Amino acid sequence: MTLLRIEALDVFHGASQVLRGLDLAVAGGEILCLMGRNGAGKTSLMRAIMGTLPRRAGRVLLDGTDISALPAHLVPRYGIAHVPQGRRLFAELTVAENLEIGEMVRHAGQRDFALSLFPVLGDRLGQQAGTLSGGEQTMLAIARAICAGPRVMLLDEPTEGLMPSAIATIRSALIRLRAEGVAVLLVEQRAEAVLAMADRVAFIAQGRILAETPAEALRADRALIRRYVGLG
Amino acid sequence: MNLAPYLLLATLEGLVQASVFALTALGLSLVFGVMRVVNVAHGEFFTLGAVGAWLCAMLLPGHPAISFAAALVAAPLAVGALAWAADRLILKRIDYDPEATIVSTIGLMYVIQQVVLMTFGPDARAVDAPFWYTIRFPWFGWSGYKVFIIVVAVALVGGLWLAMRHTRFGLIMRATQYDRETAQNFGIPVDRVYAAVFALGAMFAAVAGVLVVPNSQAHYLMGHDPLLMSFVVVIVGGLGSLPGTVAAAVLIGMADGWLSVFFSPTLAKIFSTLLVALVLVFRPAGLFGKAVRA
Repeated sequence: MTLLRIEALDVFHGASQVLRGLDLAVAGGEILCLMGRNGAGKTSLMRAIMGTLPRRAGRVLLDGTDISALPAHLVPRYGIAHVPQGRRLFAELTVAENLEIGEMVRHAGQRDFALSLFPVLGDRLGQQAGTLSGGEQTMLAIARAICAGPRVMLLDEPTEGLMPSAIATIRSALIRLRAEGVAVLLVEQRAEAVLAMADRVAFIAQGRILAETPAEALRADRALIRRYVGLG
Repeated sequence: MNLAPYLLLATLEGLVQASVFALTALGLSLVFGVMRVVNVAHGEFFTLGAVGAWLCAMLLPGHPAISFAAALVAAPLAVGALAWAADRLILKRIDYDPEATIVSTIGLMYVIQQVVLMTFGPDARAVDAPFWYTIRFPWFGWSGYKVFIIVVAVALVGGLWLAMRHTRFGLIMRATQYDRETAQNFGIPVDRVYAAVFALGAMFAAVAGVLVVPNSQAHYLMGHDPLLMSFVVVIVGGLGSLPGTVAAAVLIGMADGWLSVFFSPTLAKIFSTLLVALVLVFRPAGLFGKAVRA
């Protein structure tokens, strides 16, 4: 069942249009990977869904409810959580305080679940977030989003610059979220990561979805990735 | 010559100055730290606190402690409400743009100043201290009311620190301070937090104004010096750093007390000016400040 549906979304950065009538849908229990070159509109799409980048036209529907007109701070309360590019942790707050910020959104009582996915964070609850390693910071960013009790999770390049062991932990967590019925929209540049966990892949260029394909097709023919985005 | 009495007097006066500086500058620092707004009208909130104390004294004749206690509650609340309205009607509408907020708070400063002048006139207004008690030292007597100023300042500064560290609202304020967009992504109504912080900052200045008025009288131009000293304190301590603001207030307040007693008040002003210049040259983010995130 489709949880997140984006219809004919137009978004501008000043005078420049970054999303052009973009359509996309993600179902519960599905990982949809969004691939595209730098500047294609991936991050803008995520910010537009969260309402922090103003939408000029189009709609964002969550489980059939139009949330396009909501103020940005109310969007997460409907069950959309965002792990932004670069993690954007509250670096001077502790790990526990970062998780508490996530819990304030819907009081979903997800902290234990989040810590079960990333046990290393449980040992670092009193530590300042900014002093964690890169991999741990990404885990905290995802755990913080999980604490918000999401039905839809947006992740913007979460594995960028991480060690293989951290990537494996994050991949396991996302697969577990999928099993819990969460709709995952994942921006990812690394083909290996995409092929390892995606159910479907959408290719974006110049603010439009060029093509959507089952990940199975890409696993069978990896040349498709090169054809659409030149990534390999 | 026995220096002890002079040293004691200078230290006590320095502590009073430090208390007033800390209260006033904390409001300015809080507003900048969370909202990135340089509030040039901050001194006028101090003035309004003092004028509010005078108004309470006029409206509530009888023992000065009654009107003073009323002022200590009512004046900050009224000033906070005014600041909240100013945030909604002015700062929010210009989207907290750094340059535009400076210009608009200059305008706000002028408007408040002129309204106070037109309403209460140009004369300085005296307000009685809530109680008269002299602490007897071997060499001199010292006003017990000044101890009250120090106690209130310590209580409020400590209370703010505890609230920032141990309450949900404090956590929300700190999260908003670090990253406005991410705070919004976690359901924090940033606009409402800004309005509350602007009001809280103004209330701190108003409390300082109420506390000061029995010593210095209420006057429509009295906000200039506190504004200037608040900027000195937050520049030295580090814009947005609450511990830095308190440390700088103590440093400058004590220096002011010692230099004023042993030399002259002018030398105290020269010292604080020199300190600001040195900090700007060698440590532009302040003694406790960090580089501001874009």
